[in-house]
Parts: sequence; C-alpha cells; structure tokens
Amino acid sequence: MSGIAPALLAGAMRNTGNVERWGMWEQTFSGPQKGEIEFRAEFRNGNRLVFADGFYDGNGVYRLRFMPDALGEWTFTTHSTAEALNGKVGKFVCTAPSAGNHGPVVVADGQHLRYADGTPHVSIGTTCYAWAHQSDELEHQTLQTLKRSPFNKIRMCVLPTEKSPQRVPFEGDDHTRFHIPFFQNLDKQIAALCALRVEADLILFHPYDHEGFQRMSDAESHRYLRYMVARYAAYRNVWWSIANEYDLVKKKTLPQWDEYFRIVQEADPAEHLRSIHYSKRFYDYSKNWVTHLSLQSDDFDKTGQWLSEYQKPIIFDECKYEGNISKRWGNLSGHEMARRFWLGMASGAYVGHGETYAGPNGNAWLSKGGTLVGESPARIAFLKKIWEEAPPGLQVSPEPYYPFVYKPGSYYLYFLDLHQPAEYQFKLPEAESYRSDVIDIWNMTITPVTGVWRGSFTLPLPGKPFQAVRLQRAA
Amino acid sequence: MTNEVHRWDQFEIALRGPEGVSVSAEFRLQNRSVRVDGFYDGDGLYRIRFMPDEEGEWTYTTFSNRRELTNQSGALQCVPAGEANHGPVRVANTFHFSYADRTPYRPFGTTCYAWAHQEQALQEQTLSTLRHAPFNKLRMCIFPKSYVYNQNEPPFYPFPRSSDGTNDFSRYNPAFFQHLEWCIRSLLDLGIQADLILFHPYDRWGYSKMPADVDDRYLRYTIARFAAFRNVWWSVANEYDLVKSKTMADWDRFFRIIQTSDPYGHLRSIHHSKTMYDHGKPWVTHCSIQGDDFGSTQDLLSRFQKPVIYDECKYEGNIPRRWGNISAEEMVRRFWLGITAGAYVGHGETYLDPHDVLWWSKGGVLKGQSPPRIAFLRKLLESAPSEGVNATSVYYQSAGQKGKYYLYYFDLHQPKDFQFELDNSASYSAELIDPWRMETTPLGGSYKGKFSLQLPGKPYLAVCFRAV
Repeated sequence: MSGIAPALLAGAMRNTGNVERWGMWEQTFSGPQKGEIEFRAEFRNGNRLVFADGFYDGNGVYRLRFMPDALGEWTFTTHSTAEALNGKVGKFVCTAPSAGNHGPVVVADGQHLRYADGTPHVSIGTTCYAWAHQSDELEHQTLQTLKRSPFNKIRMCVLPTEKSPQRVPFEGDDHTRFHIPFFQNLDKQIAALCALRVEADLILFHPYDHEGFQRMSDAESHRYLRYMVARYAAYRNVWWSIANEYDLVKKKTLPQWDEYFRIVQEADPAEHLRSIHYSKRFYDYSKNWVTHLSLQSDDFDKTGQWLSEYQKPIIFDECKYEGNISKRWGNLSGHEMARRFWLGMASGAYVGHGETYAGPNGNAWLSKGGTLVGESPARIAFLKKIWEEAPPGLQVSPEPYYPFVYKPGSYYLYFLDLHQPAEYQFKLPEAESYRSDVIDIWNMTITPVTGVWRGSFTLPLPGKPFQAVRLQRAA
Repeated sequence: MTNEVHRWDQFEIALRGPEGVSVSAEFRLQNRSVRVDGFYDGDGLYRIRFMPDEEGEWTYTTFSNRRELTNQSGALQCVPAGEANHGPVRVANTFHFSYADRTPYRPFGTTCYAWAHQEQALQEQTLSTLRHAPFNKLRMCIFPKSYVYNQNEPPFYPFPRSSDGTNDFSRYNPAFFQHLEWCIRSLLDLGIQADLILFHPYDRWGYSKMPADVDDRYLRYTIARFAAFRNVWWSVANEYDLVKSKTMADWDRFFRIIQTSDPYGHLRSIHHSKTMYDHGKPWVTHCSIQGDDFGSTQDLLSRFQKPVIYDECKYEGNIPRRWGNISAEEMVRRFWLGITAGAYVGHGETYLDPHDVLWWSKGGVLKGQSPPRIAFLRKLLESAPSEGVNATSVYYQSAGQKGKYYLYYFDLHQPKDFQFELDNSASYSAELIDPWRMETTPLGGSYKGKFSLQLPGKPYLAVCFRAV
C-alpha cells in the first residue's frame, strides 16, 4: 500500500478541469476561521512531484494555486493540520498555452532573459513603487498608461511606502494577521499586469517605512514571505525582488537577507526570478539563489566585467530617473534617460526606467503611477522595437572601443554615445556582406547608408552625437 | 653703462668660442647666487641667458673649460617688470596658480602638439587664432610628431641628420632651437604659457629612444636655452607610459635633472596614457592628467596636495577615435565639471580636415563651438575670489570660498528647485548661468544659510553666489 495516498483508494478524486500551461490552476477549500493553519499540497505529473503551499483568504476560505509548467495530467493531494483541509485529492489536465502566453521569464544563457517557451524577453522595466496601494481609479489609470507604454516589467513594492496608505497589508500593527482585502487587490492587479504582458517585479521588503514593517520579527518576516510565495507564485509574471535598497534597511543583517532568499527559493515551486536591489553596498550576486543582478548604478561600462564575473543577466533597474525633482537621482532629462537605455543595452545589460516630475501629486509615476509625462518612453519604445527585431542572444565584447552587441557573421549594433565621428572603420568578417543603418536615438530615425559593406570598411557617419549604427547581413 | 633688464625678462651674454665646450655663469645679487648654463648657438657663438627675478644690480662671472669663455664678468640692472609682465607662473594656495607677482593665473589651456613643426604660414595662422582664443596655456612638443594626421616632415631637426636618417646626437641643430625660441616668444607676446613636452612616443626619427646620456644632455641644453623664458612649463612627457624604451627610473631622473638645472623652478609635470605617474613625488609641481573622471578630483587633490589640470579629457571633434570626437557641448560640460571640482581643464580640437590640419596637432584655425563658451567660463572664474575656488559640495558639484563665493554646476541634472546650504557668514546675491548660451540672469534677492531656489528644470545650468 505504500506510496498510494488513502484518498485515491477512496475514489474521491475530483476532476478540476483544464488549465493552460503556465496558466493559474486554483481550488478553494473550506476550513477553520483562522489563518494559523498549515495547508499545502503535492502535485504529481508522471514521476515529477512538486510542492505548493496554500493560503488563507479570509472567511474560512483556503486557496491553493498552482502554475503547471508541463502538458498532460496532473494530480494533487493536500496536507493540513486541519482535518477539513487534509487529504483532498484531484486531477486536472494541463493544455497548450493560449496565444500571448509564453510562460514565466527565465534566464537563458548566463546573460539573457527569455520566456519559458523560448521567446526572447527584452526586459524594459519601469518603476511604480506604490502604485498598488492607491485608489481604484488611480490604479486603473496606471494600468491604462502601461498598456500604451513600452514597459514589460514593473518594479513594485508589496508593503506600502507611504504614510497612512489607502491599503494596508496587516490588521493594525499585528504583523501576524494579514489584511485579506489588501492581497485580494494585489491579486487583481498582478493579474491585470499579466494580461498586459508586464512582469511584476515584486519588492518584498524596503526601507521606506512609516508603518513599522522593519520591526517585523524573523518569524513574522518568514511567515509573510511564505504567504507571498503561496499566494503569488502561480502568477507567471511574478519576479521576486527580496528588497529595494536592502542596505538601508538598518534593522536587518546580511544573514537575514540570505535566509529570505533561501525561504523564497525553497517555497516557490515555479522558481521565479530572484534578485535584490541595493543603495550603496552591492549584494553578492554570485550567491547561488540569485538569478540576475538588479543594480542601482549607471556604471554601464562595467557590464562586460560583471557578465563574465557573475555569468548572470544584468538589469540596471535604477540608473536614476527622468524628472525634475531636487534630488539628483530623480532629475535626468528625457534625453539622458534614453541615452542610458542605449548605453546599458549596448553594453549587454537591461535597463529600467522611472519618472519623477514634480507635480501636485509629488513624484507621481515613480511612487503612485498614474500618467507618464516624460519624453523618454517614446524613445525607449523605439529602442525596444530595434532590439525585438534583432536576433536573440546577442553577444557582447568585453572591452569594446565603442560599445556594441552582435551575433557573429550576422548582426552588429553599435552605440556611439556622446561621440560624433564623421566616419568610422568597422571590422566585420570578410565572409558576409552587410547593409547598414544610422540610427538617431532621440529623433527616432533609421537611415540606411547606401552601399553594401564587407570586411574592413570606413562608413560615413553624420558627425553628430547620440547615434547608433546597425549592420545586418545583406540577404 | 649698465645693462637694464626688466624683472623676469631675459638678459643674454654672447661669447665666441669653438663648438663642444662647457660654459656657464654665476649671477650675484648681494649674497644671492644663481648658476646658469650657457649653450652653443652655432657659428662659433655661445649664449648665456638669465631671467632676473629680483630688482637690483646683478653681477656675473662666466666659467668655462676654455680660456676665452671663462672669467668674463659684467653687471645688469634689473628694473621693475613692464606692463603685462607678471613673471612666471607658480603654484599658489596649494591647488591653484599665480604669477610670481601674485596676480592670479587660471590655466585654460589648449593643445597644438606639433604646431612648431609646420610651415611658417601655418604657424602664423595658429598664432593669429590664439590671439583671439580664450587660451592662456598651450601644450606643445619639442620633438616633431609622427602619428595619424601627422605624416609631414618637420622643417628642422633637433640634431644634424644625414640623408640616410642617421642622427648625430653629439651636436645640436641651432636652427631648430632658434625656431622654437621664436615660437615660445610669440606665445609670450600673446600672454600664453608654453607647456613644453620634452619627450613623447609619436616618433619615427629616433628621438624617443636616444641613449641615456643623450637624453640627459638634451634636457640640459633645452633648459639652458628655454628656461629664461618666463612662460615656460616643463611637461616631461606626453603619454610617458607609451614610450616603451624608458623606465620609471628614467622619468624620475629626468625630473631631477630638470629640477637641478632649471635656475627658476618652472612648473613641472608629466602626462600619462593609462598609468598615472606618481604625482606625489616631490619634483612634481602639479598633476597633469589624461582623464575625464572628474568625480575623483577630490581624491587627487587631497592625496597630492597639488593643483590638478585635466590636460586631456578628450577633444572636441569628429574623427573616428573616441578621444577626438566629443561634441562642443560635451567639451564645455567637461570644463565646468573640472572647474567646479576644484581643478582645471585643457581643450583640444580634432575636426577632420582635407589637408589633415587638425588643431590638436598642427594648429591652424579653430572650427569648434566650445572656445567662446570656454572664454565665458574663464571670464567668470577670473571674477571669482583671487585665491581660487575649491570644491565645496559634491551632491551637486560646487566650488568656491566660504564667505565669498559659490559656483554650482548641475550638469545633466534638471531640478525644478533645490535647497542650497551656504554658510551664514555672509549674504549672497545669486545668478543663474547658462554655460552654453553664455547667459547670466540675476535672480534678485539676498541669500544666506539654507534656502530653496526655483530653477528652470533644464540640464547643464549653473548658479553663482557672490557675497554682497
């Protein structure tokens, strides 16, 4: 009898229907009217066994969510300290994903990101730390703005950053009791982001604390982390950012951050991307639970070095923001923001956007979302299109004279930054011929240069700064 | 009858003798004694040049291993300096410069490495450009230069050179050096310091790999000829670390030879490519930097306690090399970044030219847009306190003097407002400065301590506060 769950024998297996690959399977169960219940399940697909925690969703409702990543029949069995939640079994069939569902984003080859189905993911992030703690109207507006924007990732804090936020995650100061409507709203908004194909880079801790979150005990912090993973790991667009500016959270130590990573890694059946963002002190991104580098930096010329050192994708999540506030981290021109995207992308990394124009609502977009007023998003959209049209898996050269990304023998994209050469001698392989375009990153023009080029050749250039040059193998 | 010489001008003794002997002179003013080497100037003529730095009656006696050259004596009367003669430039207030008469000197240099090795007409054009340019220092090589855009033969060689390209390092070509003297004097007439580069790696004639004894003699000869020009600075090398035939011990020795031989203590530094020379060595008077890492200025200043000049922070131009194709906007920005970090900055220009006449090397005309903006900044800085401006804040860079003056530069940042924190010891007027449009807008009011100012929310602006 060993190895076969009793309930299976009892024939109580529920058929819970179909779910698409990387879609969310969800079941609800009735249980005790309190949250302190252990409740989890094992999911089986052939010989694979995957564990997922369930969570309490208020009013005696327990939910179990799961994101199947393989086609075919899956079965599940629940385990709980509460009789009513224990030994529930069932099955479902995982079907092919619908159009536009490419699965979660994963690390491709030590440098790139792609979706689980192999589609390249050109990560173009933005930042709205507190957007999911606003009024329904404002949150709706943020989603509408995102819909028309080039951004496919958003950094957002789970815990509120504002004084007296409109939505609160805990019942009063009791960090052991979750305020369920807060999370139900977050569910809705993460699902809305997913529908827009925007990755939700969920920031689990941060130092901008008016509500005492930093004082959460270890036990409370761990419980919160497990709850977050139980609730959100089944959303395919979720990433885990353990913290924003972790080194400014004075009450926590490095071993604690390491522990948080391990808890998330252990609890998450879907292995979503994991990183952490710093202020001054680099976290050791070589630690094996870190999937990619989430940097606050504008040292784009270090990308090559860091790529070879860490063998992980690099995202300059914060390289200062377009805006006009008095802090120097929030008053770049749109031009400079666009330039930084090009610098980062041409160095082989990804870059994040943020916007901080002073206005009646404070630093609107960066914290609350709403509308974008800056000039960089249009240019970022232009850049994104160029990268999406490029062959996937572009390589970088470790110490380039001018930064460029390339696919040998087929595609070369140079960014000349503030340099304004009137001509430049390119050295490409002799075997193929290339056509070339001069790209004006600000005016968003792509101008073909007449002629076909091969080997070592001198290309005439406009002698203006902030141009890129694209060389593509002639058909 | 006594010879009259203005203070910091030149007094010269000419003596006849055969080539190849040594000659020097001792100049005395009461108990002061200054020893000066002479040099052979061709046609059986020796010259001993002297730049008196103090008024009064100086006497001299010559020394030589030849009877006809030794034990000649005489006197000169050093009278007050003429107008516009402020003497040589010295380090002042640790991080700054002044002329010997204490008039502040703020270096705004440019670079024409090989201008002295071009056709005469082109040199005249260079001088005529400099007359209307904002630059008061020029980096120039003594030896001719062989490099990209620099393939022409010089009109003169420093040593006799046979048709098969063999140098006779035992003798000098006086015409070469006489011509350089004309160049230095022409710069002096324009009030421009000649930052003379003694060695460099851009060489196809053999001057970068001469035997050590030739190097040493060349240095002494050069000093004997040029040190009496008050506008001379010694730059031991350009990109010293690219001169592969020499070691660090060689460079150190060159500095010591210069320091020992130069009776006037002209400014001394050395320029690098990748590896910075240790500017902490005692014979270095100031840091001559190739770099644009203006954020590390404070490190350099506090480590070396010497002025910092970013002599090469890339050039305005459009050539393929990245060191020579920054925009005028970027060149101007770099001047502001350097100055507001408490340092000084040098200019260069490299626009492609059908005849390969690029300002940075051959001189000619300036085509770029940065020089008027550099003139604007120079004027502004010359109206700042005479002791020079030191870094006062780094969040946004500012330089000034407590109680007197602050110059903030916001670089690429575009704040709509900013809370300044000046000192409480004075009240300040405020001006908004647009470095590119060269506009100064008084902001009205009077400010002290902590206060907020509304700003235009545009990048690359500056704000200047002056004590009222």
